Amino acid sequence: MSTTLWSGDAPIFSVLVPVWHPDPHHLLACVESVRSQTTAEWELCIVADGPQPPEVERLLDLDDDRIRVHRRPVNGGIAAATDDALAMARGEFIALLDNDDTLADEALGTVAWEIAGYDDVDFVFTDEDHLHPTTGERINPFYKPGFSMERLRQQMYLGHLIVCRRTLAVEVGGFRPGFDGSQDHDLALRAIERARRVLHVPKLLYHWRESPTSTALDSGAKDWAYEAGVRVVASHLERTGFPAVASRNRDWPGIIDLEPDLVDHPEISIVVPTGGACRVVAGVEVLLVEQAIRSVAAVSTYPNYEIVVVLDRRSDEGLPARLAAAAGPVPIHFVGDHRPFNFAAACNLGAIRGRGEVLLFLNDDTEIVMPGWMERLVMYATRPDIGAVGAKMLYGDGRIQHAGTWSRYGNPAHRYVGYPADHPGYLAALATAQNCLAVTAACLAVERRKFDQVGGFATMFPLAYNDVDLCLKLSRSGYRTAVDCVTQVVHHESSSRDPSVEDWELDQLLGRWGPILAADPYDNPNHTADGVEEYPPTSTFLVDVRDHFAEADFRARAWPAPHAHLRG
Amino acid sequence: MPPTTSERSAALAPHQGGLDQLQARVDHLAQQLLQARDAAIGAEAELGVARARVAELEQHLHVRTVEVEELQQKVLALTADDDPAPDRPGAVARRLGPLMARTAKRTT
Repeated sequence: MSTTLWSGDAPIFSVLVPVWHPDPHHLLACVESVRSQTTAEWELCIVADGPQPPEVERLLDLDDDRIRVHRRPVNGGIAAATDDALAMARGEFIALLDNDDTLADEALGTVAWEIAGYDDVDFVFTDEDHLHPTTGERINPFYKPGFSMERLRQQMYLGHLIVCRRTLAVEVGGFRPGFDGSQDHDLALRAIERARRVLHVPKLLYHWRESPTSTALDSGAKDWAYEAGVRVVASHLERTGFPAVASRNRDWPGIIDLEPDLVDHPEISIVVPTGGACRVVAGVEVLLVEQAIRSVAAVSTYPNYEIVVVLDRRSDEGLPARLAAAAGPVPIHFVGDHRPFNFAAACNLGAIRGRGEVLLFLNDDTEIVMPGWMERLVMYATRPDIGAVGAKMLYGDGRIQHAGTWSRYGNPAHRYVGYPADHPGYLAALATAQNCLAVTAACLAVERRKFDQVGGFATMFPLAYNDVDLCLKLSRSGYRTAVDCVTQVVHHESSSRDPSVEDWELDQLLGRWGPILAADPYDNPNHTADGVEEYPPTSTFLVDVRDHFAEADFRARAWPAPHAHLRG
Repeated sequence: MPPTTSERSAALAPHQGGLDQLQARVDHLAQQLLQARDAAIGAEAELGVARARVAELEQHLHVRTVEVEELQQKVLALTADDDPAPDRPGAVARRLGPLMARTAKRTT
């Protein structure tokens, strides 16, 4: 049958399918899902990874010149087989498909349409769901955030469908043996390190079949794959000079932990604006800023930092002496700010007086509980393409106060407010660092040169949103914002001032950033304020996770990720 | 031998007022510099928002213009159907005038 329809020398897509003893019915469904594509711009490159059962061999004897089959004489593993398929490919892009999974009919056509909107797309990923192992019905949708380099470093959350420019895949060395089981994570990292643009298509275009041996059903079924994942990330860290050591997270399969391994320890200036407020904490009246500074000095292990306290006109004369005593041997400086209260201006003044290469803004109602908190923040803040970095903030009772800021309908808000501190988040989002729209200035680290470049905090936001504005300015200047959910800081929020926000400040924020706030790139448009739409979808635009996730999970909707920032 | 910290403090004491004033001036200038950079980036961002709004309005206007043209064509066709021997052009324009004015008003 001659059905080659594309007009140029090669199709847009080469679908790569390594085959290893699949259920024949599933393989048939897989191949048919490609043949049913709404676009004709594809070829199917199948590699039989060693001898296959007779039923499978018969299925591979296809009479379709869009489909080519290569038979390896011996089994070489999924990386080697996929690499052979890459060598067969002629398309502009490769698309990866496992031999028992299926594509939505419109998958390739939709991706082609999205790619056509740009001239520099090198990598694409889409949303996905699962196929029930016995009934084949569609279940467990995963609505992904936009692209997040920080999350990808710790979790192969891109999953399926992934599409990569073929020349880029070849240029980075294709699929490497030795990483079987995490070969797609390996390729994704190596390709995206060089990609010009990564595109997320928030539509369920791939159906991943659950089976007893697949990680789709049992995350413990492929321990070897997770071990390969650690090697993949270690390799990425080495290539990119990221100062960390990778290890496997024992609680959450598929998550890679990163432990800082800093080469340098640049000086940090911790800037603490304060009015010297007191509050009852755990039944005891405490001077909040004294508690904050004492905890910094007592808990922190970072070897090179100073504290700059900006005292506003409410603070009394005896405060510096008390705070100097609380700081102990840590260098501490005081700056008087007698102007009407303006949080942004106070932070700027403290930054100006500090000497550190890294600025760390810390509210006076925080409490440090984690020894390596500064090391973790510096690990991210000193990356050339990261601007502001924040931490997971916890209320005194242990619930989450902040895990990054997102925006819904133009209204920025903290994610995961009120969740337990150890809540994993949507598909373990809170076990990783990730990119997000903004982080709270209650604990925000940024290199001084980047802070200066964007003009520091905007004093037009004296009370609220100055942190959101700062992060968006940094983002506009090419720096990703990240929240490291492994770093935890206690925040007795709004103890020092009224927590309410003013409409006029929000109006000012929208005047600068309205379009971004109306369409948070780290969110997933399938979700609504009340959860999600209908699932299984009647079209790829409509979805509903409510029947498939615990109430808390779908409410969480944790998506971080950068839209235009690509390099790690 | 270099002066000790206390010797240095003693030597600077008579000038402390001037030093404080100088420090305040430096602080002020540094803050002004930050504010100027912020204003520049903020203005760019606001310009981006304004341009997006203009593009949106242009698109809206374009759609409305096409709708008006379609309506005009329909009106002309209906007029021709009703009147196989049409009036002079001026008379047609007089008859269509109020209708056109209403359609134009809808688009503004």
